Amino acid sequence: MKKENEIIDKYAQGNPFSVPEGYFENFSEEMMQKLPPQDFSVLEEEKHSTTWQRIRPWFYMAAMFCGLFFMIEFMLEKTSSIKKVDPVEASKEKQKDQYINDVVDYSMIDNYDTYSFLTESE
Amino acid sequence: MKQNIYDEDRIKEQLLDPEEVSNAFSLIVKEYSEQLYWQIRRLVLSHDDANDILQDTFLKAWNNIQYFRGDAKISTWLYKIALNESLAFLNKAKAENNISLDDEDAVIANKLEGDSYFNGDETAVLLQKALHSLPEKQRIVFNLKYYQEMKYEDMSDILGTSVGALKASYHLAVKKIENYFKERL
Repeated sequence: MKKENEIIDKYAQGNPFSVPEGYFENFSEEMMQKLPPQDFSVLEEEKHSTTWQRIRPWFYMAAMFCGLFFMIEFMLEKTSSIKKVDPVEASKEKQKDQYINDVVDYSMIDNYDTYSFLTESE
Repeated sequence: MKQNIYDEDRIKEQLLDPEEVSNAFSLIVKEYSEQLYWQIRRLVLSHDDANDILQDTFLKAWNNIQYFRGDAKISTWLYKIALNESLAFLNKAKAENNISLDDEDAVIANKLEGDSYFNGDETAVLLQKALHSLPEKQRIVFNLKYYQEMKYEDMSDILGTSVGALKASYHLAVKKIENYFKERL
């Protein structure tokens, strides 16, 4: 590093810039006098806020996620209960329907016969 | 009791306390005014301009003190403001005066000669001209490293540039300044 800056070190000796006398000594005091009054209500609010006020937004967010979770859980359960059909039962039902259809076909009963049968029995 | 020793962690705590914030800020001004001044001065050259920018820097910091994030270093925050203010000043001056690159050497010479707080000889003026021939960001990197001996990691936080890029920028700046001297002396 030193070797790299050799040429610059040769020409950059000393600080050619100066400041008025006492400039740095007086600067901070003068600067502080120039600062406008500040409204520290935000800091004040933060300082005096209770633990509940500080955790409230997080609490609401957690409650929202819990609600969302239970809602999704409930809906998933409902959908799966609709879809949950015992395959053995379903097959039995299908076979019963098939049996009735076959009987109707073999006995050559049409809609008119069925109607007549029903009205006679009354 | 007023605290007079600079303790960054304690000051950060005090910045959150409305009753202590003013005292904490005065300690910050005391601690950083000189190093920020020299950084600004090397960029804008004139004492009057540097003084105005330094005051604007602290004023801006004060007005935004409520939003200062405690996890950042106070120095990083202040350097960011100071460098942004300096660059804004230089860009405004450039736009107002419509200075071409050829005229820049003459403008710098005039500025330094007209400043009663510049006591350098011809070589010192030539060094300033060499520095001002660098792109602004390269000049800032050079000043922070060469004059302030700032760590590249700290510089990276201030400038938002990777350490590798900053190292490359510094070496490039050194080469350019050396070539500037070789061509003219």
